[in-house]
Amino acid sequence: MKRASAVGLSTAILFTLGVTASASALPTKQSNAGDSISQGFDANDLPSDQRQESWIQGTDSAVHSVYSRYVEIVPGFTQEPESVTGAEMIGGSNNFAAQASRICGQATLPQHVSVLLGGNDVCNRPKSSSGDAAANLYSVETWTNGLRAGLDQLAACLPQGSTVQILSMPRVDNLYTAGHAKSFWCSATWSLFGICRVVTGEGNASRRAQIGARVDQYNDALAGEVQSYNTNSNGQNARGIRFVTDWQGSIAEGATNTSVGTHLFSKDEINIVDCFHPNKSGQRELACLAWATNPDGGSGSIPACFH
Amino acid sequence: MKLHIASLAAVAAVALVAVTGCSVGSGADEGTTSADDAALTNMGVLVREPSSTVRDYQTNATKIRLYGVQSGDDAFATIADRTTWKTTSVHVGDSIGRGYRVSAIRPGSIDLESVKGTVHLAVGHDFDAKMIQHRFDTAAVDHGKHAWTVDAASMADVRAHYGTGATAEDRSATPPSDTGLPPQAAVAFTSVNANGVFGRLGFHEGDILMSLDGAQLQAADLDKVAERLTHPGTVTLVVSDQGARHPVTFTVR
Repeated sequence: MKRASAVGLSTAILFTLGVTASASALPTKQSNAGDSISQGFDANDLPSDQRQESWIQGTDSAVHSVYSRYVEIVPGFTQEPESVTGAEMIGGSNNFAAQASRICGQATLPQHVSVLLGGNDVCNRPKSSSGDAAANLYSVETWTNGLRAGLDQLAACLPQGSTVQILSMPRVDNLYTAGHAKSFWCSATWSLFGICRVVTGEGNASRRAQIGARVDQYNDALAGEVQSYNTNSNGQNARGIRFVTDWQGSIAEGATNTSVGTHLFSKDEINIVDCFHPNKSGQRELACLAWATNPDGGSGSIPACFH
Repeated sequence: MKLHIASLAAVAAVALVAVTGCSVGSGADEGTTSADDAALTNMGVLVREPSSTVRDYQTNATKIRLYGVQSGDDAFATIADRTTWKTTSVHVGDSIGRGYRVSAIRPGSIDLESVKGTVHLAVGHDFDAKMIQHRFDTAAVDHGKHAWTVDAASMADVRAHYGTGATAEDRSATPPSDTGLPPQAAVAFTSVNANGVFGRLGFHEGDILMSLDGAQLQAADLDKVAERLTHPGTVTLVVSDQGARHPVTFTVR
């Protein structure tokens, strides 16, 4: 954990200070791109969107969302979420680029945008019958270009001084372990509703690890893109919009529980209905992590977010 | 409602760019005249709907971006319509609208066949496309945020030509008492024809239905749902995406 904290500090410095984008005033409005996690789906064991329990847009004090934290320090703070249950980073009609387009179309543009997508990109893909369990997943190149399609739009449309926080995607392959630890009901509900069968239907741990390795690659690519936009080394951010991420490296690199992508959700952090989505405890941890890695959040301690 | 790699039905409903999973091929079709054939070729229609004329097709200009390719035995490419940003994964042999067919997928690029020759599209680049769509392709249009519009007349014709185009099974399970959950039930698609009603609505094998306008569904109700979609009104289906249940609204006009 000591090593993880040190890595986190250096990354925070890299993405917050060593860049062309300058620190700015606090935002008065936020928006977000996301999926069912950002909609608080099932967080209180009711099988529908429960936005009041969302890590980003929630109003439940038990979750203490990013929105609630901004409201505490910015009078009149507002939000206009664009997250959609079922959305992917890449696929379909509600992907990141589509949601970014909707954010850019808002009558009053936000100065803070949070992004949390990717779980469905893995879970919606069919299981591979080849030796490579990740064979049917999007290539890292595809992932990167889909991410760029959204980031390009936000860099072009947001007001100067805005911040875009792109959170790493969760290691959905770890659900298998969390669900089996939670209840024998989990394997039944995964089968009944066809939930993330690419991992929940995969009994071979080494093959699930292949899926996890691809997720790590996606998150590495995400961090690389964030740095490229933040420093404008790709020429796509001439107006100096600030881009930040929570990703500090993979579990294999010793960064466990330093980001969404390395947080090992436990059985007590997923709901009992689908054994897949974070419950209120999980949502609260996500909110805490997002705030701790948000430049507006100040000096939050990432390890303290996870209990 | 997820976009499976192996199936292309959802794209038939894209507003400007449609990648169809149609099984029809090019060339003369039953019910078309030689004049129709010439007009369709002149229009650039490569993938024809049987017994259709030029009046059944429309064209739009858009840009297609190739996000990337996934190599391997089941190679596929992912393309985005830059107007809506909707994406689709295509394999060799799949068509993009009615004017292009994927003829090759290789590392870093794809080839698109058209009546005027082959277009080479590199990863990360855009292509100015003349998108041709048959009215069946726009019988149902996905506007995002789980809101669709359905053209009642065209969907009725789809149903007449291809039928409901789907089979499903009832699934149920009783959670253990300590979960406090009631018995769970769902309808799971076991097959979906990309050309049929449910294929046009973006459904694929494995997708899960929960309810129709608030009432629990049975697998035997599929044709009733399809029939509802051929009459003006609003139809709300609750589906399950990776366990996340949400309503999808179809406004039938």
